[in-house]
Amino acid sequence: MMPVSWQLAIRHWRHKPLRPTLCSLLVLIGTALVFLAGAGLTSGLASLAHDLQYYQGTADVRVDPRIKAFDSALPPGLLKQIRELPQVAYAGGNAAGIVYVVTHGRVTLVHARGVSLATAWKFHPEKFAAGTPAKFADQVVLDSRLARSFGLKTGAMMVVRTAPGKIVHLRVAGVITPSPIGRFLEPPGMTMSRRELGYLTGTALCWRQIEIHLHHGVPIAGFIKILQQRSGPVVEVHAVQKGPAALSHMQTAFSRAMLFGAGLAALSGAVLIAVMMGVGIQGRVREFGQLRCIGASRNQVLQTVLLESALPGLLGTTAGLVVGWGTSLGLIEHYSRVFTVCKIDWLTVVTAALTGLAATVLGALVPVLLAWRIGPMRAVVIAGQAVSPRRIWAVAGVGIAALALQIALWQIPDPTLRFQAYLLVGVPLIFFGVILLAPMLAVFLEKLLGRMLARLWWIRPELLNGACSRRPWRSGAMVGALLIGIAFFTVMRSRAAGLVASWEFPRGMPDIFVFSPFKPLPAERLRNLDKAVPGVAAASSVTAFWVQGTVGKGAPGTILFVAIEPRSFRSVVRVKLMNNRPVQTTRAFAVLAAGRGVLIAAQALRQFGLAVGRNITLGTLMGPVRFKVAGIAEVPEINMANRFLHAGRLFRKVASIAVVGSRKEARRYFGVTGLNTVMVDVKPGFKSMAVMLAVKKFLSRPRHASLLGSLLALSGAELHGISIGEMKRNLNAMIERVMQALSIAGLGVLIAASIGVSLLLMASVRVRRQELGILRALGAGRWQLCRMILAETSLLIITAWILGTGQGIYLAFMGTRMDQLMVGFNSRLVVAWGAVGVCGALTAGLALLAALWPAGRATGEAARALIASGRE
Amino acid sequence: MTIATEIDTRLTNPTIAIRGITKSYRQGRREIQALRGLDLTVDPGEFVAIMGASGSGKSTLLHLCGGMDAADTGSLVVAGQNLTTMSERSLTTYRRRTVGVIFQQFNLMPSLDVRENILLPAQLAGTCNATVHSRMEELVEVLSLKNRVRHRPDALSGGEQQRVAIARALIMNPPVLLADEPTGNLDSLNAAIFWKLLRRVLETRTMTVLVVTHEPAAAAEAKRVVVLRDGQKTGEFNVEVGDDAGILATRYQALAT
Repeated sequence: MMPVSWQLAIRHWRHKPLRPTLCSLLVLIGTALVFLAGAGLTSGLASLAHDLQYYQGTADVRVDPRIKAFDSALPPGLLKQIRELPQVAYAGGNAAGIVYVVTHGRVTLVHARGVSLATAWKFHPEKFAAGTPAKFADQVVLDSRLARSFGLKTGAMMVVRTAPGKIVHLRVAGVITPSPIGRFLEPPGMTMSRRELGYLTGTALCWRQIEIHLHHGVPIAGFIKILQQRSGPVVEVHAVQKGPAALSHMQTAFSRAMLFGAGLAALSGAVLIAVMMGVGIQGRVREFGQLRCIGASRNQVLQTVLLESALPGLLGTTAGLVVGWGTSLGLIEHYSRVFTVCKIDWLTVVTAALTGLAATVLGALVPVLLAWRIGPMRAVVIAGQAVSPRRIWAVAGVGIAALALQIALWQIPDPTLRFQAYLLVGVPLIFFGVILLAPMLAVFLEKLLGRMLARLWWIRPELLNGACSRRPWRSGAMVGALLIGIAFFTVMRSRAAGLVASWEFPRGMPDIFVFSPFKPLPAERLRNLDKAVPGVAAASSVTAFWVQGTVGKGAPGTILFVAIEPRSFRSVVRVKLMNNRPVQTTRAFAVLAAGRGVLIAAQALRQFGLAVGRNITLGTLMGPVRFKVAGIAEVPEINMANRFLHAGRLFRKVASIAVVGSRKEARRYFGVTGLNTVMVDVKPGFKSMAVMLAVKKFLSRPRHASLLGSLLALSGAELHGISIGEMKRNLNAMIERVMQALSIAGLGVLIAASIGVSLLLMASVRVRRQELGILRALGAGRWQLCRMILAETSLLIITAWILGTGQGIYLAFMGTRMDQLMVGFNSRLVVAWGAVGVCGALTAGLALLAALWPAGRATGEAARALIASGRE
Repeated sequence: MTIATEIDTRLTNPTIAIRGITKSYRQGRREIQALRGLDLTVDPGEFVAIMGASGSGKSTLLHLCGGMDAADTGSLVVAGQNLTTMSERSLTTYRRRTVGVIFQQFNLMPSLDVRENILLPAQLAGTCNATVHSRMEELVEVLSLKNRVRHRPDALSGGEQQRVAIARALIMNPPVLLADEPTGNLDSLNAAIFWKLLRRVLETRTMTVLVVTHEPAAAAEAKRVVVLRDGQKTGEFNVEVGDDAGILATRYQALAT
């Protein structure tokens, strides 16, 4: 037979289903939101890892030319030698080139990848939208964007030609769907046999890259060492970092973020459930007293209350998991272009379940504690004691102490420990502290605004006397429930506005980058660029090449020489120079311009202990020449990007072996005259994309006119261009979209909180039915009482708005500090007052609506019935 | 030992023995002396009515006897159990097995129907067996609630609710029945029906009954009337066969003023 506590709890749910059902709904929403967030994050990360894998391929080891010059290639015969090694399961090569595809009389420049057809698809198992991988030399595989653009389907023939007039006919074997990363990072291209590509481009049959898959169990590091020794210094053998490994840092960060969000959701849910069920218990004190009178033990009452509070939570958690699971699957399927992988891991399920359970258990604690104090005498005696102001101040004091403690946590010296301690303890302390301040503020505002609100709602001011001070704990609890939604919404919107406003990355960078990957650009064109192309405000160039160099008494090594035009470079790129303290940029650049001076990156400083004034020896055409370090360059935005994305390994490697010198020195000491990157700032009022196209056309215009050359120059297609302004707009749009999603989550919390508040108000009005009856009996009109309840609710809303907005702004401010601490990003605090106002109005509207219904119902009853309800 | 045997054993002793009991409580900043050294003895099977004006301490006395509240000083022994020295757990057992309480406000559980309300004490005690069920059937029959057993309290009249309260108080067959103004919320007709039915129920049971009332008509049902004033006993008198409410009111007034 079912225990009596269970029977009582279930009977109560059936008798009064609204409150427990809405509690279930609340837990359901919270659990489902956490599940959705977890599934979204893990699937997004898994998709990213999958795409990276997809993009990077499945190779264990790669071999690249040491010097990455325009035409650099691997030594002939190297692939054959590698294939003969016993450790190698299979190996293949890649080459790249540019070909011209002629379709419908239109010539289009296309990036072509020449591969070994036997192994290419093993290394890059592409997702085929149609057809199959190319198996024969006369077949080609197209990117779906190209296929769409050319109007080609599998089996169709296409004409491919090159400048010297070579023509081949290729059959489209398959069409691949590029991965989201590939779509973002690579232009549309086609994959064909390396032999055909070599024929078309007229280049020697040599590979630009070799990919190697080792037999199972072969140690990668050992193999790299052996192959490097065998291949000599002209090549660089390196391991391929696999997608999941590259993202492990991000995965940890996301997991922490998810756990943090789940913790906050659990805490908020717990507060709402605790307040809702707590008010319910206060309204049923007599009932529990009766139970004690007829022989119920304290434990039996506790069990009943615990079950009453926990059952909705347990059901809500279970339903939330099911709903979360289903919704996640549906949304991931719907956005399958973004989520290439659907992954719902145990952490998501456990976190979502724990969120619901934690909210349930924590939320049940308050009613259980309230019920613990109920003795049998409460069946016959209504104990109503005025709360001493000292107790209200004492509670507020505890709240202030909690807020002070969270500030103290921010003083922990170790950044990681500080971050974790603040997230796990500090943020909950803020919630806790603010909620404890609520009774004091509500009582204070009652005194301050009571008269004004009474006038506003057209009631006698005396009716508002004691609206909060008579019931400070209940008022505080209702304010606590209200402010959670407001705080969440404020912090989400303010963070979104702050991040968008603070995203300064492109501000210190040129507006446009134009690269020429395959042949040097004529240097004289750069000088006339601002005159020749309308909209160009300033232009500069960068050319990078590898040289031999020695730092101090170390062994000679390869160093990347980055040649810049010192005067123009500073007009388009913001560089911060330092040497443990800020140094004058003008002075450093003057040393650079004077000759035999270089700048180094902060990474080089850390790796080699280089400092300003020390020398670095570079192998030049005139033999070894000593260059003096003029400054150490720090680009904060790049550092931030490295730290945040954890993609800095390659950057650090390059930056630590790079020196920045002048183009004059590059010409004089290394004989390098061409340019490979041009940077341009756009005049205000000009569209960067249009200017970029004009710059590309101008730079690629041939010296000697030919028909095809003129056609190519018209499109500027040989050059790659990036518009940073466009990139910023895209990034801003992306951040805005992410923040909109977070705001929707905030709105979800707001709605969930409103459900809680509605319940609370209903319960609160119900508990006061006898009081309302007495007021009716004494001559108060029905609408007068309704207005009184609405005025009281307004007081609570104002208190909640002040505390919630304050808390939200403070959390947003601490968010900026956390950005600085963990990511190195100096984000600004921007309060989205518009959104905060809308949120306040929404909360006020919902709360007033929620109050109106029970108020109307309660005051509509006869005074006698209302008075009698106090004796129920 | 079965419940019935336990109850028989207890009935051989004096049922309620109160010696010098005091009770005070705070009302705001004021301290109220509800009982001031009260002495009272109630014999097994006796039906005693406690009368007094508002604030005389009669309800406090009943709450102390019901194990709902604790006395400040003095000794209070009910059915052989000294309530002043009992633990919380023992008091719970005492409330389950030794006393049945009927309140003025009926105090039924709103979410349970009549049958479940009657059986609730047995369920709380974990003794909801066939005997209890047959007792419930008997009580329902005697109290004319047979066609109302599936109704919840909000569907019952005041008189019916109080009859359910009687059945609930008697379902554990306690040796002591306590009633606090049991007809205070009923009209005179329903009050008369209540007393008639209670008499019928008590005919088949040997039970000590302590009723708190300020209605002489209710006191007329008792064998003895104890009058309290300002927390002290001012006197008592026996109710003779044929004494009506008027006679009792006169005698009560003489002791109460």
